Amino acid sequence: MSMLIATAITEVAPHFEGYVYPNESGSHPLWGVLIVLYPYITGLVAGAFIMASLVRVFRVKALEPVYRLSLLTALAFLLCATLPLLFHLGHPERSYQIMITPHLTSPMAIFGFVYAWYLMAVLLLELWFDFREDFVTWGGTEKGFRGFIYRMFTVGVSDVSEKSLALDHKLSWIISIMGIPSAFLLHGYVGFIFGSIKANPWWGNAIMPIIFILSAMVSGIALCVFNYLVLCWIRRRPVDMRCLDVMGMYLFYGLVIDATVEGLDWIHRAYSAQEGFDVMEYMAHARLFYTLSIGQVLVGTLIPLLVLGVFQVARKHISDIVRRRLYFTCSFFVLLGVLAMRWNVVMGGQFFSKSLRGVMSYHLEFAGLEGWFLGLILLSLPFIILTVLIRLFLSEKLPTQGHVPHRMEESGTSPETSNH
Amino acid sequence: MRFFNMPPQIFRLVLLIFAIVVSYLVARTLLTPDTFRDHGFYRGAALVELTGKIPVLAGKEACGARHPEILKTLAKGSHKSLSCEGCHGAVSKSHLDDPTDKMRKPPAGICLRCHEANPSRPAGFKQIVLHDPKPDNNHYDGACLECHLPHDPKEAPAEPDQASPAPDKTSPASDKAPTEPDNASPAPVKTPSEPNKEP
Amino acid sequence: MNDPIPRRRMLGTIGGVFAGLLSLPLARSIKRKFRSTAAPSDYDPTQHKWLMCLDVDKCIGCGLCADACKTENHVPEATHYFRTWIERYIIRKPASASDQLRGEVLVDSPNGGRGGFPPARVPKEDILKSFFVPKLCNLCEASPCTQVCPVGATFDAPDGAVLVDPTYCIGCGFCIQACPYGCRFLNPDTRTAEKCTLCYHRITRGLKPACVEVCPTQARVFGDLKHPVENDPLQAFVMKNKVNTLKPYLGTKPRVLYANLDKEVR
Repeated sequence: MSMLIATAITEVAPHFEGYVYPNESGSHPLWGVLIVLYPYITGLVAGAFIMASLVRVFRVKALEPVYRLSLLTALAFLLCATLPLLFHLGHPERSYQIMITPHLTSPMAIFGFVYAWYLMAVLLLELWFDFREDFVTWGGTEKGFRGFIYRMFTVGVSDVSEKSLALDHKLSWIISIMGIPSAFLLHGYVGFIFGSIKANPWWGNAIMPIIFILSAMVSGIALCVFNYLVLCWIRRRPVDMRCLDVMGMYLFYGLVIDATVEGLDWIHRAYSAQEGFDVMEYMAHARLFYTLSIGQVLVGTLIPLLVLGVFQVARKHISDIVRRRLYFTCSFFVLLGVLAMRWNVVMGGQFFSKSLRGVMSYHLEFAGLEGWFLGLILLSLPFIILTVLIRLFLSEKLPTQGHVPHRMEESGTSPETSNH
Repeated sequence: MRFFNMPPQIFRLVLLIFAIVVSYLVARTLLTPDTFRDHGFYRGAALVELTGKIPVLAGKEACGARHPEILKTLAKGSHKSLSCEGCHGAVSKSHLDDPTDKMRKPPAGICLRCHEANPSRPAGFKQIVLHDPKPDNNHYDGACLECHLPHDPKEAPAEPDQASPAPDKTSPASDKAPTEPDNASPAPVKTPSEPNKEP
Repeated sequence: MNDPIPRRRMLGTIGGVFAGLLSLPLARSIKRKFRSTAAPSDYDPTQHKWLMCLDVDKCIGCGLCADACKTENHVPEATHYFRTWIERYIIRKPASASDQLRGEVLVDSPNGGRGGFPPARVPKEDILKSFFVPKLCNLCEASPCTQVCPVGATFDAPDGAVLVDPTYCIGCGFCIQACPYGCRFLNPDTRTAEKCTLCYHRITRGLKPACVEVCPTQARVFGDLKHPVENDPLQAFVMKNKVNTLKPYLGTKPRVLYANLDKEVR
């Protein structure tokens, strides 16, 4: 390696070894924790939405208990998606320019429109059509601020006849179908942002958007598993094991496809060994060892693949409790693993010089705009919002004809409900 | 009541969509800068603004307009491709406003900036080895200006006791080489009013 | 007494005063030209095409260009903000038993080359070849940086410069990531992207870019392709040299030409 990484001729500079362009020799990367979080959050949104569309479009009845939870999860995370970007921009007060004068040759320019489209035309509309009947009902029965919110969301429409509800159902189905490519666009364009940078061989290839989308699906499914288990645990409600098993199955097959395609990327890189491969290999080993080998590969992919794979063949022989605990662990591992993957992509591309002769070592700070403390806050915020959304829209006390997360019969205190 | 025979939820949605699209279009018209798309996909006024910054370096032509004698001397020798401000630093505002407020002389080590022997410099470029441990390879470890006039390096400075022609009013007295004891450290600033200090 | 020397001295003095008086308007107009804040009203960007080319064999690594650029453009002083910089390449002789023709390649750019280069740690006997390479914006025809700007803040000016509109840039950093040549950076004070502008404020007034102005060996060759002068340096450059560009395989079509570029330069 020393032959390929030029040794420093003058005093060893604190932040790099070998040769890096002077503009790269600072102590902080240009794109930091915030840019790692943004694709992570939009990936969770896209994946959670795909979970919901499995119910609506592909009519997987077993997943009905998590239908509303998935949509609300997607909404909670989508509402927070712009925050990392706004914190990262040098001039967030000029961010509106991206919608006023979008430069259409730039993948980043479609952000404003794709985000607005996905939020309003897909997610909010689908939620509205699903909840509309309940809004009318709850608006009538609930008092105070909560009642006001429900009435506001009816948008003045109070028609809940059979015909009207059938129309809702049909429109919701259409929006779901539209929503699948929209979700791919919402997250795929981020992958394309990286994939379009031909200046950087770690990022600039055609498979980057595909890898982003696949890992997004996996992370979204894992998030739904995680949220479902946490919700049932908090509420002390029995978990619908069939729903959980089907989610686990999708998670497993998603992981298989994701791991295969990511593996293909690495195999191709190593095989074709184009210019820059040596420095990238060195960088991956020297700077990304823990996040790549341990975080993304071992914890995030291999262990869940093993456990979930065993479940596919030997589910009957494993008790419910053990399966629940392992699903929880696996979903958490997958969430960590996909976060590690985002880290490896974003930071890995910045840890080596475009001169292909040097490797940088950046500090990651605790405080500050690119510090990981702010990152933790931005990651917890969607969960807080989700809690509020669940309180408002998935409350056990409110009767509903829609899909509920858990069987109510055994609780004894809440009104009878039925799953469609 | 049904408008246009549309189901009420569709009607409300259409209204909402219409309102959003219209407000976006209005905002876009109002907020797009005036000169955008004048020459391309950017604010045309930016071109004008970028030309409006004040230059810092005056340039050889500007110095030469006020100091033609020096430029003539420079053009004779191998330093003819040098710019004034490369050695003398950017012309200062105080010198522009009041030419009698002379610019600082370059530090004594400035010659080494280009001429210190360095294997990376092109082969034909004149270089001098300093502090060579092999004593017979040692060139002269003293001051460059003892033997070279900076504006015409092939010429040696005049001896201090010879009569020298009166300096031109338009050229500063920098053709006279002050003696420097140690060319590795920057010299103290000498103005013509100060006597030359011997070490 | 008709002493010839006092008469000569008097004539010389009168002549000097006269010359000084004549040069006054010229000096004043030059001073006005470069001190004014107003854009020259007759400058039409579509009538010019600026280009800088570099002769690697002429660069002596003095670093005057990097210094002049920082001074001229008020670039932040820290060692990781450069609009132009110089790299030193040292190619060692191959190890004695090896079957290589050329040995290890060592590259450095201490403080971008500002103040010149300190002595290399490689002894002179060990060096097969060594040279300096000045770097700057490559003025790409198919510039990837302007392609990826989401708001249209960085753009290709009609006269060949690639510029950033500092009042419109949102500071996302996409252009900095997209430049293959590392010539862009994020200015920490303005929080916008910044890069070599060919000293746009100078060239539009008939001055030369600061780096070209101070280069002692004419390693930097600058001109207007639409208005070649007599003995145009750019024309001489391409007639005399075989030329190369940096990273041509990326398809950015860089316009900046390098003469005598070694294969190790990225």
